[in-house]
Amino acid sequence: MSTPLLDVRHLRVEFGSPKAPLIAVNDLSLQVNAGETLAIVGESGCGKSVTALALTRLLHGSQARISGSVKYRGEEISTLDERQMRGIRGRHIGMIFQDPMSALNPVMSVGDQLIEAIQAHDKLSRVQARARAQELLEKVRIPEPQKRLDDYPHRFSGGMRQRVVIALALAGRPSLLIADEPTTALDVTIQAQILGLLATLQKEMGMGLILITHDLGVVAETADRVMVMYAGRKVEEQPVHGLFAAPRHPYTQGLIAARPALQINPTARRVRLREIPGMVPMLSQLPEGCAFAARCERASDACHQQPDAVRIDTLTSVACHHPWQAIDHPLLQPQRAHA
Amino acid sequence: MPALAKYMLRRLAQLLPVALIIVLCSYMLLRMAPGDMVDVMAGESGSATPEYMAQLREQFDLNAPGYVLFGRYLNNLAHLDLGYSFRNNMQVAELIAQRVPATLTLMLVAVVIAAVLGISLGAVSARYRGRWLDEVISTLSTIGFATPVFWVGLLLIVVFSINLRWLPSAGMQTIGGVDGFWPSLLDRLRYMALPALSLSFFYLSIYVRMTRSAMLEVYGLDYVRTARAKGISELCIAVRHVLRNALLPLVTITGLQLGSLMGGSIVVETVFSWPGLGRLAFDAVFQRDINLLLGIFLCSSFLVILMNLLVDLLYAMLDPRIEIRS
Repeated sequence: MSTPLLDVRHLRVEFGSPKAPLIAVNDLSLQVNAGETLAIVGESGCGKSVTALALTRLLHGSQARISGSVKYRGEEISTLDERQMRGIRGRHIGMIFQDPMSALNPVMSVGDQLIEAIQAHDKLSRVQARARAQELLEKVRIPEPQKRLDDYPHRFSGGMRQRVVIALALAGRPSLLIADEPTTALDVTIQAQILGLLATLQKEMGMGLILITHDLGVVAETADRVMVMYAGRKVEEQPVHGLFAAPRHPYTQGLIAARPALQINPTARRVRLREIPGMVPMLSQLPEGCAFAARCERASDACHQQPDAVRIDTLTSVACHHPWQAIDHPLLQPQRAHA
Repeated sequence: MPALAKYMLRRLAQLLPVALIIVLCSYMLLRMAPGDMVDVMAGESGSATPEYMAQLREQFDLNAPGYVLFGRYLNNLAHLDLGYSFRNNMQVAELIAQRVPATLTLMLVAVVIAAVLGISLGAVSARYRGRWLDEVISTLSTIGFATPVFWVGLLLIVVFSINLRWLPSAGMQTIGGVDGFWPSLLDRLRYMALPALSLSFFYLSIYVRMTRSAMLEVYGLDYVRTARAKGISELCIAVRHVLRNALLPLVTITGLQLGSLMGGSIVVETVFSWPGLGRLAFDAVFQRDINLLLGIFLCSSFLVILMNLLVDLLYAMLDPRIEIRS
């Protein structure tokens, strides 16, 4: 197999004092290939965003301790110094953040912010950079890009601002895009537009995409592969169709079962939403062994020990002592030839 | 009419009631203070008889009841006449016009020193938060914050004028003046140095602390992370993204501090015998020169209000989200 675009091994992010560290991300490994979308799913606080920020070391000022290996196109980037890392950010790995309302500098025009991003990596004159900025706005489908260049962010709506944020992320022509809940702050119709835009741009530019979200609907629509995180660890990884058809980890099962179903018949008896009992444990009070055991109906004594990730096939792995087998999955008939 | 002109006009119209209230309050305060101009003159001469004092009061028209005098003063004001200072034997307007440039220069230089040094030190402090440089700057600014202006002035005089003999301690220029443009400018700068420094000291500390806290706040905001994700340098982030946004609250503070700066300049002008408005006011209080004092109050409040207007306009320039509407 060729070298993956991004290859992360045993990533660990700690906060707080070294004596009693809060482990936000623990022993996390992931790979993304060019042109592929990996979705990272989990509840808030499970370490998704910290993972995204840790990859490009943007956890500034929080005194996080990051260890593990991050290889970009086969080259180790976790050991680069700050100056070299700046050459990676924007140029090779672009980032899109959650809240477009606060992600843009309010006192700089959109054009200036784009030009700054362009000139950070390409030696272009201001005029050339401005022309490219206009192209970028066109690319993210902002109407009348030439006029909008000199506007300030407060003149853009939420969806338009997110388009600008995407344009910023594309300014350095990165080959990997990390989108941290890019649609959470937007309303549903805009969400669909932005996701569609991201998918189109990804195809156009052949980028790898890491899409961080807690919205399984978004995952189903856009992802190739899915990684489920719980309390800082990867609990399951599967291609997207497999994950929805046959989730292995009890937590993934719970997540999928907790999705509200569309009720076609309004007069029918309302079906109560399934939920996962209990709460996500706090980072400071992580139990020994499997962090999900306390909420898990399949838990046993074995669960007091941290389960290893078990590879089921090349693309599927699960970290559970009692994973669901495809065969005992309630929704599935015994093993179809191909899912 | 363009929105800007309309806005300015409305703001200037607000000056009138403000001025009236200021004049009324200061007039009442001054009338409540014991003694009048004649008492002061009698005390100075040392041999005034009661008859002579009565004659002086008659001459200066001080016998009428307070409200009549006040009404007369207002009437003069309405004719743009600030009255006559019998003590200085000059029109009040003329006296003030003589002194305003000295005070304005002093204030301006002090504000510029305070802003430039304060913002730079505050920015450095925020950038190196928690390191020794930050500790040193923060400690110094706390000391500066807690030190009275007059004491700083005296200390500067002791060190730089008396011990080191580097800089003059009083006045605005060498008596008789210096020939040539550059030598004379240098001469004035030398005289300006100590008063401007002592006046700026307190404000410098405020700027350091405000800049530091405002920048630290901005450093935590999302758009700074966006800027970092672009891969631009830390210096660009600090100047273009953080400092520019942190400046907004500083501009507000500057506007609010202008009044107190005027007050501070009175102290500094007294310590350094700076021939400005503050010294004039200080003397006028001791001489019970009500006309002059009222004139100074009016003039300085106008100055402060005008400068606040300027600050507001500057604010609209700095922050595109603020639009001037009339």
